[in-house]
Amino acid sequence: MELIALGANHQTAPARIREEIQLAPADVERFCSLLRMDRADVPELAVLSTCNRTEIYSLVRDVQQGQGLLRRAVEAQKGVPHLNNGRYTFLLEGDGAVRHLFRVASGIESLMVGEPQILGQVRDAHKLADHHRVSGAVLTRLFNTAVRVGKRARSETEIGRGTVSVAYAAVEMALKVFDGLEKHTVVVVGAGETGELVARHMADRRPARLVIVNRSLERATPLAVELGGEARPLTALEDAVREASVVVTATGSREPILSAELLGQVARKRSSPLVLVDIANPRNIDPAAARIDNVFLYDLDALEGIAEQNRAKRAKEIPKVEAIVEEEVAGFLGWYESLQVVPVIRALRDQFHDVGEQELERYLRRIKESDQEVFRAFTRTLVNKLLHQPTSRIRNVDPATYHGVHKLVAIQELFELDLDRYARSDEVAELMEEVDGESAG
Amino acid sequence: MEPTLAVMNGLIPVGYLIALLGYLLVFVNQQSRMGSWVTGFTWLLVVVHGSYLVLSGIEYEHVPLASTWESLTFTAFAMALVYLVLEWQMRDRSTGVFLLSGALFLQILSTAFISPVREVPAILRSPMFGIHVSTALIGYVALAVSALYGLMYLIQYRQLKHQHVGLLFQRLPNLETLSRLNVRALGIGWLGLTVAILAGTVWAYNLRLTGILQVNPFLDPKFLLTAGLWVIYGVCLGGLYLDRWPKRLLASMSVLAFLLMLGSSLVVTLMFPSFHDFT
Repeated sequence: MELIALGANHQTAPARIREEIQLAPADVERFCSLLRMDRADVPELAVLSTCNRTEIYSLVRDVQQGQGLLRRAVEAQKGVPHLNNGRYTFLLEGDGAVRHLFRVASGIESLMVGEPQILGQVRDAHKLADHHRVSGAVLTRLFNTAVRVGKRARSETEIGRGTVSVAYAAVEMALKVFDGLEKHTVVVVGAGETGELVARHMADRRPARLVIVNRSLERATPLAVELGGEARPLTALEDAVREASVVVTATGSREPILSAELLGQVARKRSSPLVLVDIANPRNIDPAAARIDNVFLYDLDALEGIAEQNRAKRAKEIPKVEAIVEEEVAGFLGWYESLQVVPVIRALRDQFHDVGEQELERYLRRIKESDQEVFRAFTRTLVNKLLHQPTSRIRNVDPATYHGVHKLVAIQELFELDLDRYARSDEVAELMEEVDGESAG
Repeated sequence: MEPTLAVMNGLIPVGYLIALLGYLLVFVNQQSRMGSWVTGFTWLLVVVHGSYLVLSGIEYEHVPLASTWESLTFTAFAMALVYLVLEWQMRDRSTGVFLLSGALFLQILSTAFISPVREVPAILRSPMFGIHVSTALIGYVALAVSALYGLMYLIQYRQLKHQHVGLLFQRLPNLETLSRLNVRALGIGWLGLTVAILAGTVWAYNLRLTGILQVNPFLDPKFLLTAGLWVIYGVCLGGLYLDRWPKRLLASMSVLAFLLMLGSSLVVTLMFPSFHDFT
């Protein structure tokens, strides 16, 4: 059995191609049912599909055959052969597939490095696979580890710190001035695309009042109603600014709509600061306002600069995240490779012998020294005889089949075997000679 | 009880070191779950430190402010207490590392050099002395803390004006929180000074009546300095609440007033004789 990752993402395919092969949750259901009859060849799979990536993680019996089945299923589902085009897709096997998923979950493969949504999307991908009963022991472990990698990356490094989007940078700067917006009035001037985006970010912070000022109320009113704010015409701008703690301007005006003089008057009457965010081009606020005491003015360049500084800081964190990824890849592969007959038998036998010896030690104090060796031999023989039958059964398990892998995982989970210290080994015959010898003794 | 006090004296700086390391981790990693453990531990430490001061007072039969080293351990205690009260009010742990550093430094000095003071002038055994000096110390510590928050406000203000989003920008609280911390510490400090001045005045009046105090306490340089500072800080608070002074002005005033307090205290202590020498 091999783990593979097959798909296309923002590094391999343009947006148009990604859109055409994107698998929505309803598509995933049909995609899984298409592959159900090939369960022996593709026993486990999970689909991670976002606007930036459509990636299929799967356990396959044979890499060539398995990836062919997956490509054909996507083509049948979406009606486009893009996943058959090597130019747009990638195929990773074994540790490459594991490493890729962990990198994705940690956010370092995202278009916007460190963005937080991907971790939830990874979690949802596995939930969906679980819901359609196409996920098993291996992918469950793989995705659980991926989620842990994502959490570690965010808590142990600065990969998720500081905003990297211009629209959100405006909110972040306001939140560095005010302790939340719950007691403040936010005024957004302009109900165009950019204004709407910032208004939505601001509305998420539940300001005391959200006022949307626009030349036409027809456009401002529906947005204001949706965001729980109020709409005002452009003629009411000055009054709105006098009441505001945060003013965002995003209109198409060729001339400044807020003069430094007006803002100076407003600032002088306030004891708390005034935050101005000008994301219009050309600018809507007189740049001289930046020199007024207690006024914080951020224009597009400033916000882009802040976002860029944060992007640079996140980029510096990538090596630290990669170290976490490598540590977890080694851990996962250690577990995956231990799903072989010999490591499982060795772990099982060691565990039973450990229990036998621990119990024996408790009773040895009450036994004469001359008899102790007899009891030791008795315990060893008893454990060997008890294990002989299960050991022989496990010896016949074929780890190359999914059924075999599943059995080995079940035994591991049943006895809570710690397989990490048992290296992959195929010396079955040698081990069984050892077991037979001990059992006979 | 002396061996117990000696053990506590040795353990208290270790406690402050642990608390400081905890707040440092909170500052760097911004971990809220760990933060509550650190806060809990520091409250416990302050209770232990307070118990040490009380036991010390009982054992040596005077308020433990009779020597410089006794005053330092009390100052460390006051600093940690003022910080914890502010943290509890503001629910913000990001500045603990700065305040606990100061408390640790003072406590290490005190632990290293403190020695039992058994013989003190009778005047120092008066409860009024305890109230007067302890409230004055708490007041001065709170004003120092206020100045520190004022400084942080000015740093954060500058970073916001110039769009520097460095480590301090990320880790320091927002301007509104810093301003509240600045104002509340100033309020605690002003209240402390008010009680200290009132207690000192009543005490001095009684001492004059009994003839123990021969000089006019209201012409004492330290009294004049404290009264002057009390007026300055009072004007700041009045300006804030009555005239809505800008927060930045108040932050600057708290820093300047503290520097003035340090400078003038030094001058007064070194150059003018005062009956305020209790050691």
